[in-house]
Amino acid sequence: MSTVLVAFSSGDFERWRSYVPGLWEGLQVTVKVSICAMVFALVIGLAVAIASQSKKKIVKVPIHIYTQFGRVIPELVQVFIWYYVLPDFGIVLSPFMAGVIAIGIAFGPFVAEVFRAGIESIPRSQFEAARVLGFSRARIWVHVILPQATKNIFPILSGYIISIFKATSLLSFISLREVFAVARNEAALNFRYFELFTIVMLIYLALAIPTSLGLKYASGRFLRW
Amino acid sequence: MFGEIMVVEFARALFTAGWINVTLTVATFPLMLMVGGLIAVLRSIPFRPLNFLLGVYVDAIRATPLLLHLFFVFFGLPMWGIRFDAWTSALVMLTLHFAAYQSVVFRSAVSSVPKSVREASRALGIEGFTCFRRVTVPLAFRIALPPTANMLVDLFRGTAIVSLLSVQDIVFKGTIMLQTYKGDSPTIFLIIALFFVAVGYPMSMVVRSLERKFAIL
Repeated sequence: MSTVLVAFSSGDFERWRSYVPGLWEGLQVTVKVSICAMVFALVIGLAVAIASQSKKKIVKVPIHIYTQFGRVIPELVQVFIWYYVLPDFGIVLSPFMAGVIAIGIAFGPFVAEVFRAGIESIPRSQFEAARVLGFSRARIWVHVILPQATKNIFPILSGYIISIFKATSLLSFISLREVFAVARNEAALNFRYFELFTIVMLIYLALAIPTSLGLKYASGRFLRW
Repeated sequence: MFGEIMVVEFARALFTAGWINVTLTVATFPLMLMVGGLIAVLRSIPFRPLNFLLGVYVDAIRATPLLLHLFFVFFGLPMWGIRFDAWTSALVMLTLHFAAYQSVVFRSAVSSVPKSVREASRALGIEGFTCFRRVTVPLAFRIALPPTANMLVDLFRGTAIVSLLSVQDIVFKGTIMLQTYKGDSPTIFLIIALFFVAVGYPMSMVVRSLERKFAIL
């Protein structure tokens, strides 16, 4: 142990270099699955938020159940449901698909809540004004409501985007070979858990910090309508 | 083999294991509040190096997954001679993880008390620590309460992850049962989901009412 504290030997550098190809593969999987899950969660969240503006009971009740129950069931349980339970109904998903669907649906309620708050911060009079000007329903949403709504909520939304990225580490337990799975497999062979988990921690930091800074920058610069 | 008796057996076994999730939540929550409060207080001291270190800690925790932190404590630290059993590592790391989030809640609550309120109390002759204790804290408390209650729900949800450290909680029990009763996975996971809804839903309802009740400032 003291060798690590005092200095690194050339053997250490050799070993670290041997981690690179595996971790690089895993990193790519992590990024891919994160982006897919984010897009899926945003689509679900937006759809649910728009639908929640409806006053019909047949729409309101399922949405209430999804948003209120979905947000208290842990992501891990939802991941296991999509991966372990669905095959019993004859639907076999790949770990990647199961992960994207499970995490997208798990974060849907949170994203929907954010969008809903954004939509409800827009005065009702804007709907009326747009209708008077002859905008169709779809155009009111796309050109009047959503641009303003998304602008206000962008900072909170970027927090959930980072959360989704972090949640993909759970998918290593449904045999998706993402970066944490690679590190765990490697550590199971050489028992250098501390070293490998430190590397993975740094990888997560290296991805999360630029992402959140980038989103902050984007929200200040590009989202001025 | 599949009958009502089976479902009752499953539910009993799983809910018994669910007790671990509840006790872990109850044990972690006060610790998390204390550590979070401590971090918030220490960060308010104008001493640059300490401020910087705590800032790095909070941001690093918030940018990396809880799962990784748990594995770090349970598998990584024994190498340095620090060895906890699974339950204790879960307690320690859940506390340290959620404390980072909670410290942000406390800090933003204190800083969202308008400056004019402090100036007004100063004009009335209430100054320094008295102002902090009698004016800022009561107002900040109202602001911090809903997000803190929300943190309790998050913490409860987070306890599902400790199953991956082989803490024998409800999810762990479920995955073990899955190996014996392969065909019954829908029942097992329905019961697990019901457990989280049964405990978590009332909690989140309380959060909502708190949010409505304390939405003043």
